[in-house]
Amino acid sequence: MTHRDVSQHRAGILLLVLALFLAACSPETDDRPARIEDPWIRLAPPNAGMLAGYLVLENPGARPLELVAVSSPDFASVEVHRTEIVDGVARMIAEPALTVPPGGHAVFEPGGRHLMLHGPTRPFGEGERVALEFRFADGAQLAFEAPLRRGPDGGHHHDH
Amino acid sequence: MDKPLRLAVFALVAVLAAVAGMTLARWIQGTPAAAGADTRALVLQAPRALPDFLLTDHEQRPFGPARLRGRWTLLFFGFTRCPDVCPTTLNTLAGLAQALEDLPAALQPSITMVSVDPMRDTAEELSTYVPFFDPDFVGVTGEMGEVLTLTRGLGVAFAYQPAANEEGYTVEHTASVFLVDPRGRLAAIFSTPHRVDDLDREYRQIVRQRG
Repeated sequence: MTHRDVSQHRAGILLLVLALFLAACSPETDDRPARIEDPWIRLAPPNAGMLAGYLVLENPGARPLELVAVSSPDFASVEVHRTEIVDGVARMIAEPALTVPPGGHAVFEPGGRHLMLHGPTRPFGEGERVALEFRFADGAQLAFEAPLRRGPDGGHHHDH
Repeated sequence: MDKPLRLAVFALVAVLAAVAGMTLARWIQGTPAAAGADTRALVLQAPRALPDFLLTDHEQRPFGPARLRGRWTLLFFGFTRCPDVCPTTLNTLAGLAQALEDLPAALQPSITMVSVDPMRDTAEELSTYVPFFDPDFVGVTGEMGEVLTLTRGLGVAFAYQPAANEEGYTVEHTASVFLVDPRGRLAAIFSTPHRVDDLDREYRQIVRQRG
């Protein structure tokens, strides 16, 4: 082989290795699973029939992420709702399907989008954790736990 | 009256109340005078007298205009089956109460939630719900007609909407917080979003100017 042939041969191997490397990696970058950041449920009075849950749902994948169902063994039902305030009047809008774009995220926060947890099956204390499961349109499921907290403005632990 | 009919009547009354409330709210907001450039609160140039009403607090005591005199009162309108806005606001108001603890007792506000769902929110229900956020908070409920008298007087709107729960409805309601002065008159309206820092600064400013 001439010197040039060797160079071409080496370049060919390098390309092949690179191609194999990309082939091995790309399905993972496409299918990186959904993530939940900082989930919490607002601690409510013992007779509250409804609680609200907050979190950030991240979609690091390459395809849109469509949340189609939420469930918890500790509640009769869980729905995604959004609080809207129009002319000072607060109303709740159901969001039966929520789509998070590739690389995007959906914020669930007080006064905005939230999980509406209806019909608790047991009383909850501060710091207890609630099991939740998200189901997506592609059939994927994501189980996580959310602690019960008083919330950012919760008066009892406010420092001065 | 049977239950569906009663609900229908209440729904109709509530819709009328909502329309009246929104009209009044616009009228009030048409004549505002800001307390200063850095305030978000709507401060009424001429505090407005409230109508006579008779409700019940969560300890079964009468709650009428006399309970609004002699100290500053922050009124919020909500209901116990409200998952997001009401607990969020009550938590914020609990934070505000703590932030204002350095004020003389006479200048610290009484914080009261009036139910816009009096059919479900009995005084007993409120006695479990409201003090959970702060032991000093007061919960108020009563006859629908008396609730409407107060909400109309303040420009608070609320309306019932069908919902897939046991009772078949949920309540849309004004989420603003209303400040009543020690003479029992509407002095200011804090619209959403509510933050402890803003409310703290604005409340002090208003009380200092009007106290």
